[in-house]
Amino acid sequence: MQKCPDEHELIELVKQGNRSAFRDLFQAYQLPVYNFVLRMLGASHDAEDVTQEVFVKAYRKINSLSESGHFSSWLFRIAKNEALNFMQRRKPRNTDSVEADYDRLDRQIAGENPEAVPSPAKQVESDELETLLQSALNGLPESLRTAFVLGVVEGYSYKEVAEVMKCSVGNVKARVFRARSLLSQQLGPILAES
Amino acid sequence: MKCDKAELLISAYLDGELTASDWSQVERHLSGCSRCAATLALFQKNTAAFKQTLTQRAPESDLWAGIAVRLDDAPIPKSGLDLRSAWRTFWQGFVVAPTPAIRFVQGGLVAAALLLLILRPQFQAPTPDTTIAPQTDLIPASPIPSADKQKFMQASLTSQVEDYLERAGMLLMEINNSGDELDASDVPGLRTTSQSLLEETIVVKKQLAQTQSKELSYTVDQLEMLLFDMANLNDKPQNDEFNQLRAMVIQQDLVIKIEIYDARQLRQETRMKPSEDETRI
Repeated sequence: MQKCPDEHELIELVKQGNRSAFRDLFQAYQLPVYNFVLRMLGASHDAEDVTQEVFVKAYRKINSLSESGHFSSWLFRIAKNEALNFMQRRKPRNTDSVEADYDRLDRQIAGENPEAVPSPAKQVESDELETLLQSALNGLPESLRTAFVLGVVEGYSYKEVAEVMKCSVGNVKARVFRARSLLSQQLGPILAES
Repeated sequence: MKCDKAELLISAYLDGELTASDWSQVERHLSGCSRCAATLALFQKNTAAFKQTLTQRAPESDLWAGIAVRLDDAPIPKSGLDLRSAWRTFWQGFVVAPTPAIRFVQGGLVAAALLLLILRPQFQAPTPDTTIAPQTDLIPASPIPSADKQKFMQASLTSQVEDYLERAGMLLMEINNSGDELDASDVPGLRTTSQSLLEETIVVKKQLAQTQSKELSYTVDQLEMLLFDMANLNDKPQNDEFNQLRAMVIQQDLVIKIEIYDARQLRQETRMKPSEDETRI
């Protein structure tokens, strides 16, 4: 996981209550954390709420971080736990869920809301594929989803994923493999058709 | 290399996460096995689809604005010790490369704590008593926030959750007490117990979600990952891999026990304290 320059100094400043230093850390990690949470939850509105929660929690708990060199894996661990907590709290049918995305997509394809269609058929195809892939991701067990999103979609090394998930590298390997197998069972024929 | 081993490695091969030796073995296998080559092609296609489609996005709103407002309400971080992390650090320091003597003392302490937890209900008075006996202070003060405790008090735990936590504690204890070198004959038993607990985890998590206890739910999340690792142990696990897992178990073991202890204590208190309705009757 890429560190931002002067990260160690920034963390020490935050520990003393310096908000400006915390904002610099936020700027450096906002996108990776948001994208990870987005892929874990599938809905952008939820991902924004959870990302905010992650950074507020990180600020409050910064003194429990003993080694500043491990900030990124510590932050992603908070993000993972917050995403899982959110999933547990979330009602089975969330209005901003994948199903809502499907509805939105159906409306776009049917031309009910022309302003919402940003571009021609290709964009619709791309949106449809994204919805399909995100839906398949949502169907994975949490631990497999975390390993797959971090290790494959976000491209972190297995060692980094192991640090976030607090498990061995061998188990990250097994989880990514299991995730790939399950996704392939589900998506294989569909992707072959497309 | 046989297909079942190659299949497991194909995914890591695709991510560039194999050692040179495994990499060349997989390459050799793929050149002669059309079935595994087809699996690789399918994995490649799916991976490319995920990477190309689920691209980096920026949030639509200004997240910092919302965070800054909430930081105004957040206490400025103090340099004081966080109880839980202090306890973790203490325990971690205690178990890193312990000598046999320390290991013996450590095992004894944990065994005594667990024995007390198991035997305690048998020493309770048979009739409910409204006075709560002082608890032996074997384990540090509860890390569960008081608001969460209240929710526990109101909801209490089902007997299935209690039973699950107790069996999980026993399994962790067993791992904790195993030596540096795991006996291969112990693996099937550990694996079966872990698998059976793992299967129950979903139900337990659903029940815990009803108690709205974030802390215990978090503990069960951690436990689930450990159980997953244990359920997937190889027949002959590499000792360094097992030791890594064992170190992780040891680090989290007491944390989990503290949660179990708190949960049981709260349940006991709930049982002993008559509800308002009972008092009226």
